Amino acid sequence: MELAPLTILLGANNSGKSSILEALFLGPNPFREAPYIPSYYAVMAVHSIHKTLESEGYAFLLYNYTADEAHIEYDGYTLKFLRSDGEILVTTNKEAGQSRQTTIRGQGTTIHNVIGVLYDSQLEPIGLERKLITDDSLLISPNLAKEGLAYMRYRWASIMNMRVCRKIAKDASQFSRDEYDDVTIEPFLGGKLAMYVYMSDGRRIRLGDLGEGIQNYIGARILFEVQRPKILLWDDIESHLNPRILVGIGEWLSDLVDQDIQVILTTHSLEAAKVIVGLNEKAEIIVASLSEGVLEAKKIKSADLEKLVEAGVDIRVAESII
Amino acid sequence: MKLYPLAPTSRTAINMFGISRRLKLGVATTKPDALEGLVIVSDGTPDDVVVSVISYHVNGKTTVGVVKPLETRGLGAIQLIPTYLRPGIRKIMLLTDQDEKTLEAMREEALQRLGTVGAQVVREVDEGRLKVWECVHGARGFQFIVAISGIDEFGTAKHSIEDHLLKAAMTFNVGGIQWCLDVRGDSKEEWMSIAPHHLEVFGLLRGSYKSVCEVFPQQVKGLKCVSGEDNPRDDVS
Repeated sequence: MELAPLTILLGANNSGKSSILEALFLGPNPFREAPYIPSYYAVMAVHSIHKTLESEGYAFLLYNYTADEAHIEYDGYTLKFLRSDGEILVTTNKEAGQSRQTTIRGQGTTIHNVIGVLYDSQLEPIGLERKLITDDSLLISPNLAKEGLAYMRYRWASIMNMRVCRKIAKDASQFSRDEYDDVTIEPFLGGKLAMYVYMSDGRRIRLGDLGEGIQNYIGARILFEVQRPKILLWDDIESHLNPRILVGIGEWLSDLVDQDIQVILTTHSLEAAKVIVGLNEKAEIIVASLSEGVLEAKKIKSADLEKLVEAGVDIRVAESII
Repeated sequence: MKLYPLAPTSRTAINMFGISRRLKLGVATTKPDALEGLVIVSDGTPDDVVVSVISYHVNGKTTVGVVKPLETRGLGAIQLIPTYLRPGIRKIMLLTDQDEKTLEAMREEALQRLGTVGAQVVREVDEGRLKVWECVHGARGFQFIVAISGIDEFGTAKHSIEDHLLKAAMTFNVGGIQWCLDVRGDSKEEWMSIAPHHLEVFGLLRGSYKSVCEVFPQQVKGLKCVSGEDNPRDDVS
């Protein structure tokens, strides 16, 4: 799959879109710190997305939970997950990590470039290498919003000193009749910490009271500034967004592309795809679908998308004719 | 003048946000400020892009709403005026192609349609391709401005916004367009034939208020009227 400077992965539920983003998020190193809960490894953030009730562990990274190995490959780089004696060893084809003696399918062997170890049924991994191996990526997901806030609280002093919150607040004003001057975390209501936006008239509004679209926008902008990745991944871009904020986010993403930051999004929404691809000439739509566990991807032009919609064809469910 | 599309994910809105971003016009907005008036882009594209470029040169202080009716085009959009007449909307501009009609026939049709929706005309200013009617609808007064796209120097049977765009391309010497359109010509086809140069033409229009006024006189006047601004931006050469 060839990804454009701005790629929109469009497809129905369970079509493999999110897996692509998660793979690209893990790629640079699953054991680097990600801006989701202090000291969280990137792989733990992906774990949070998949966690159901009390289940823990990383077997979900392997096909049907039982496969012996999984690979993430791009630009000549490979990251492997190898099952071995109840562990999942994570190795790469780049010089990194350590060599490790282990047993695979009953045979003793030495695995090189092991950068960490995951477990089938345990949350805490062992990170042996935490530096970036390829360009950094950041995953924005509605399923990680709370974890992102927790991280911002922990890093708030350094976030404030980055002096970006005022600009982000001003930019968020474009979606509202109100004017926002700044974003802050402080004790205000009941003496408990919360995140607020300062209004130009001096009032404060708790971020949680602004509506999820603006919360998502402000949260994503801050996390992006914290991380400054070369690749931005955004899962379910349309989630909680009204049309105004969708356009605003589309414009921001286009600005990032102009700064040579690659952006890859997923959406179920034809409207979101049309808006974002219409705002940037470098944007491309890829329709994704799964066929017996194999991802199928088809690049489609914006004009063709509109023609199919006008013709009564919903490409999210019309894999057979495209 | 800021443009606030009332359907921000529509094709018209996307075109406006897109050209605004590409040419750094800063005219398309998502901020729901009070609206000075409403612009009906009844024929869609490229009218929406033209409105964006002209708006860059017109009064930066006010915001007007923009709509593209889904099912009607041309003067047919007049039937939607009662829907658009909301408290605070006192100026409505309709941008439409002349097509093959005469200006007098268009005037008659507009007046007839205004009557059909219950709008009474109390004053009329007719400048050919720019018509301004002071109207009353129920207890509400409003100004209705119609800018009709087309250039007489083009001898084509149908006139449209593309007449103006071709004139712009000729003015800037872009795309090798010759002044040879006669009654058999089609300015839409001619304009499409220089598609790779469209952005260049719009960019040159962004840089020259003088050219914009020469190429789009009725549209500029109409948009200035709906924006409430008499004077154009004075910081643009």
